[in-house]
Amino acid sequence: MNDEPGTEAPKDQSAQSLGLAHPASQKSEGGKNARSGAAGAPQAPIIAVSGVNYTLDIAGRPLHILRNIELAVAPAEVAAIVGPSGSGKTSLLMLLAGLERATSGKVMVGGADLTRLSEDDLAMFRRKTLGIVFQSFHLIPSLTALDNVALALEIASPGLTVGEARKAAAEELAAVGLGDRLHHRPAALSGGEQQRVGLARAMIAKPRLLLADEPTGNLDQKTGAVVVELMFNLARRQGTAVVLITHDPALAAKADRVLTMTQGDLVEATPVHA
Amino acid sequence: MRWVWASIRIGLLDMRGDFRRFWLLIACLAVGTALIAGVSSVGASIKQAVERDAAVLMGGDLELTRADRPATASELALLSSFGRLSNVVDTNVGAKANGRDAFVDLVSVGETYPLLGRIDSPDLPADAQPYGFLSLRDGRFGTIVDPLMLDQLGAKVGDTIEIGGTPFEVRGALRGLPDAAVRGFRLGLVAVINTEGLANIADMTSPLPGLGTWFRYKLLLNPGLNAETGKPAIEQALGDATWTVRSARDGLGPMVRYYDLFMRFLVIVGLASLLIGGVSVWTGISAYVSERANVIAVLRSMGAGRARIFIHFFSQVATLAAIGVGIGLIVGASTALIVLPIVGDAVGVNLPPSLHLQPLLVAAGVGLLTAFAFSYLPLQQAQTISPVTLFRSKGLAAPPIDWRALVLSPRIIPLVLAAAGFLWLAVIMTDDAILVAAFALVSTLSVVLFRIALALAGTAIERSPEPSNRTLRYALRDIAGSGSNAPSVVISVGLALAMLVVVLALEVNLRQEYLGASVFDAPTLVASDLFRDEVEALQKLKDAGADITAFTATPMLRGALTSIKGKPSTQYTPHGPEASFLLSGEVPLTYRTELPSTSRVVAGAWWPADYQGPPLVSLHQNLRSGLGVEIGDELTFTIFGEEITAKVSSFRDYSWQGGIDFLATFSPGVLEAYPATLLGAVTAATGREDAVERQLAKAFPDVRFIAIGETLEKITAALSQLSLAATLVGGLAVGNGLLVLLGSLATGRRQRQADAVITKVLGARQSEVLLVSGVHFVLLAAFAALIATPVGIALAWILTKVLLEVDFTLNSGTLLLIDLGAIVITGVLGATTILKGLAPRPALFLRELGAD
Repeated sequence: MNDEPGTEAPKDQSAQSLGLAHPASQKSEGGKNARSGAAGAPQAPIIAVSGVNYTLDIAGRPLHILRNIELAVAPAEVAAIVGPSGSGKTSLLMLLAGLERATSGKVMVGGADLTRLSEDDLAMFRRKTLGIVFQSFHLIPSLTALDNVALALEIASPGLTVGEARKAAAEELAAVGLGDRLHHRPAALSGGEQQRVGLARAMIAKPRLLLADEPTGNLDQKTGAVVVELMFNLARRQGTAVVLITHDPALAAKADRVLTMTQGDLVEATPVHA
Repeated sequence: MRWVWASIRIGLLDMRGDFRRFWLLIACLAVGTALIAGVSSVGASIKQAVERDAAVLMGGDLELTRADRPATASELALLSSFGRLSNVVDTNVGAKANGRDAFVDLVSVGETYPLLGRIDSPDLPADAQPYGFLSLRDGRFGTIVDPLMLDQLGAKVGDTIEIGGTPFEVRGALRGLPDAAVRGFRLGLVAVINTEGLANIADMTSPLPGLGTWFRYKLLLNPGLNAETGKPAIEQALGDATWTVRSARDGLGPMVRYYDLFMRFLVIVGLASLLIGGVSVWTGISAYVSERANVIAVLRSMGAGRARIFIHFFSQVATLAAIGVGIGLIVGASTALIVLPIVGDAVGVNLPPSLHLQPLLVAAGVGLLTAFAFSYLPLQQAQTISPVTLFRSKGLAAPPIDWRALVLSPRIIPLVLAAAGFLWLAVIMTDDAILVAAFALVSTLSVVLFRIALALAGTAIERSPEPSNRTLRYALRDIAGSGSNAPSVVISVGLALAMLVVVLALEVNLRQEYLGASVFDAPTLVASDLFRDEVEALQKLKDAGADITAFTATPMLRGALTSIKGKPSTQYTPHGPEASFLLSGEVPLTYRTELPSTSRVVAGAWWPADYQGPPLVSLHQNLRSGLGVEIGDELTFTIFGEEITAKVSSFRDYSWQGGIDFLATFSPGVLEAYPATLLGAVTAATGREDAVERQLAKAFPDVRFIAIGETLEKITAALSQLSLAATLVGGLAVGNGLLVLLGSLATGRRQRQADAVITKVLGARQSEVLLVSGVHFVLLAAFAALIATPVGIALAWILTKVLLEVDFTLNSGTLLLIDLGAIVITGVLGATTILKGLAPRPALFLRELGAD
């Protein structure tokens, strides 16, 4: 047994996690057209959200966080969500990550209906399908950059040896320009470097979807631009769809689409790249 | 299983930076485990030695004793048919040399003594039989005597001393008798002679009345017989209940019972200490998990399942537990190796330094189970931490435990199994399931009681109007505020206090049980045949100076028990030495108004001081079965030719007979009319014994004062070692409580420091902030003491009175001091936890806070 109880991996898991490519990534290799949900052969969306409401009960009164959300994101597409604080951006991201459950509606990610998955299945879903980049990096402070990244691969691919995971992690860190920082702990890295480690960690298991919660929010403009460039390049190379929350219009402008969230409504979905 | 190893590896890597924070947790586990390992090892060694050396300790498989006469020729022949026989006669006589006196515990040995073991004396050749070594030589019999007696008499080996008026040559200094462990506590210093020498003693009068002579026969049974089968066979063959037949186990009974009680007590203290240490594990791991919420959330966000989170932290706990338990085992085993010979000396059993695997494994088991049980729930909570926290804020803790859901889910099973394993190991250690069950019950009830009391107090604080005193108001706000460490401080201080009360009570009461009564109240010097004017002079001497702390004069007269419950006593067969002595003819009797301090009533009641009713008599407790009498039965004594019938009103237990206590004591108004001699008992102030002895010898040249202090010193030396052991064990256990307290004080310290620095920035004086913090912790400790003191007393009472079947007393003054000490220590330590926030430059601290 090479997996945690209750979270059995699909049979092709090692192939996926080792980056031997899933269909979406093969199709998305190399071109902007391939990334666009509108162009080329029709593909099943990686995200298909329909009729989703998310309501909290605050002191006995309902607080509507998200209302009747409809969203489809194609494989390898980059979508930015913008909107004022408290508009529901992060809540939507959490629904997409399977960290919160919608009050009603359907949240399909990577073909899985997240509203129906058990806690263990959701863990498996995150392991196989998702990468997350946080605003505050959230690296494990006691681990080196190498171990922080390798850990994600170990969790995603329990059959790997430590050596294999670390080798892949070193390559991923090299890909984000941190080949000379492998054995540094987070405290010894700059903010930009920490976020690059966070990006490598999110991408090492070749996820089909990358969720990024204000990835440049704690970085200066120049460093943020470098990190975003890296993120987009990696995503394009791996055919990974990206949903990005940001307050930065310049960053949003680099996405394939910009979605605007206002008071719980996803009011606009604008394709920016024709 | 690769993912398991990967989880363990990452878990251990994750702990690296935080290792130092766990020293408290490791120390608590180490102390608890060390206590149990050490105590269990010593207990196992004693048990093994008693089982292995029982016959040697007894000097044979069986011992037959009677007090009225030696065995007849036919009885000797009968006994010899069961195996090899040797005889010993124990009595008390006086000794003299160089114009000085000594009080002798005379051991007269027969030709074949000892059947097993040997008399320990550097002067006795290895191949020599004591009987021959002590036989008539150059017109004198020989004796081997206690070196203390040589000092007392100013004599040395080779000198001649008088024993019972007959000259004996001192042929050796006595280090020990092979059967000393079964002789019990006897007054006087030991001198060994042979039975031929005994027959030649001119004056067999005991310096103190009522001590009696004991004829003992040791029997090494023939092959095919053992103590269990041989004892009833011999009792049946003799057909005379006056003989007391004891196996080695019976003989060692009081000693073994005491040690058994003592060891069980220490094991219970060790277990309690470990459980209190468990509180430290709980608070430590809870705080750690809480601070690690971020890491857990990151792992969960990457898809780590509950099992992985559990293993990640469990590997850390297991490592810490292994270190703590390992240190505990090493310390416990080393301590056992060091103290075994010392304890052996105290018990009179040879205990070479050796270790037993089982007690160490059991100690390791309870240590590890404690660590597991107390970390299990925090680890379960760790699994419920959601990655959502990473998006919303940092460091959100796990949700509170849903007890109902936990109890109804299979997740409770490991906890139940751990608790069952803990109790099972405790039963193995104590061999007493009821004791363990009671321990488990009272421990659980104590914690529940603390929680209920805390909840009630919290509600009371909320509903009460705020006090007008500002310091008190702020302190109460801190206590009732969110994130307060009140529960953990109250529980840790309370449990430590409750245990301290239990340790003190058990130690005192077991010490008293050891000797049956308050041995330490026994006098330093006793004198017989005092005249009234001498008694008055002694009383004046006592009143005049501080050297004599107590003086009592007891009338003594002789009488014979002639009728029991209306039947002539000659028709009764006495059972046991006390009964046979009482029926042996005229014996010393006394009358008293007050119960002697060295006695305790075990049944019935002592008469009031102004009692004027019909004659009553109080008997030694062994006469109850020895004579077959009960409270209210009538006994008739013949005193100076007149018959006096008295009702039995009480049975007493006491350690010292002969001028201090008597087998039969009458109520006032019965014997006063008869001529009686007076026995005086003088107690000297500690350290002034020799001075008092010289003072009395000078003031009363015609009175012979007998020092029994040396005997007591030897016994109290042995007891002191045990007391020291009990105090050390208790001290360590309480120390463990202090460690837990330190851990609980650390809970929320950062928040309190932050509050303190902000209060200071707002303009509060440093002294005011410190005072509020001190009052905060004083209130918590006082509340803990309020609950813990009655809980501790109740616990101690249950343990002593009900489970260990020992009398219960407690010193309220000591209790008060303990409570005050705990309150002050907690207040001071608690106040100091905010010192960092009161540093001269609060900006630095605020910057640190911001960086967290």
